[in-house]
Amino acid sequence: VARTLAGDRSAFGILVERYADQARRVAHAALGNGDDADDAAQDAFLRAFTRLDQYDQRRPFGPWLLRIVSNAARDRRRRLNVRRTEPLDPGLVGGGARPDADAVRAALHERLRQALATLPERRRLAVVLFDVEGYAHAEIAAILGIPEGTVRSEVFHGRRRLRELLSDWKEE
Amino acid sequence: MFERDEEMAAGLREALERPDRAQFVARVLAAIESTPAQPWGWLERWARLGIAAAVVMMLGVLMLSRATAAPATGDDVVLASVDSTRRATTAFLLAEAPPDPGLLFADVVGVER
Repeated sequence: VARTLAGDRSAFGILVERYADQARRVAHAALGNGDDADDAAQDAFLRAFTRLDQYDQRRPFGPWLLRIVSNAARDRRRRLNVRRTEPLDPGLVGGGARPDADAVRAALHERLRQALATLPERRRLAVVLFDVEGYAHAEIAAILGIPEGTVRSEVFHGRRRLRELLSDWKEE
Repeated sequence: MFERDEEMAAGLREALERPDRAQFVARVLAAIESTPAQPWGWLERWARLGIAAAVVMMLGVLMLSRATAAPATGDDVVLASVDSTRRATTAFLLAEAPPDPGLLFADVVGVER
């Protein structure tokens, strides 16, 4: 960060390398669409770069960046006028025919994405930031701009809903 | 209750993973390279600070001038002012002839005649 602020643009590349996966996953969770997610993640990195002087270097960089990612995803959703999550095909989430063994993994991922998409945006971000990215409740609260208690509640309800939606898969 | 759910985490992580990592990083870095430098960024920050300081100063001056230039403040003054305004308005509405512009002006600027 200090090197970038001193004018070394290439130093920002280290941050991009380090946080690219997280930023893309979080944007993907927020937007549902992978290409839009990458665009939002790129927007977020550019915003972070131009506003780097506003970053408090005593705090960890990840939550600061992911807050920008979350906002960038929200802005992109507004700009693209992304459709609200349509009701899911019950066959996709609620237990359709199980595909053949070769496609099991891909199908599971698709079902996870579909299940995740049924959650409100804040809830799915809370689940992903907690379970996938490993952030603490307090950090997630800072990223999403909500109280810590609300984060706990969102994670709890989000997980419970995901487990419900995927229960039949697990039984199989 | 708030232990991480490793199984769900692993599944979600894979489900949200995006391909072509190197391509994405290169794309972001290219966009950053083409972002124009902002030599006036410091000016913007100082301008924001300057505006905030000016507002605080103006408020301070306003409060100070009120405290020093208005010795007779209080409810009675306010009530008298309200009462005077009410009487003037009633007189104005009940008058048959149009008001004298001189009187009106004097009333607006608060000069007693």
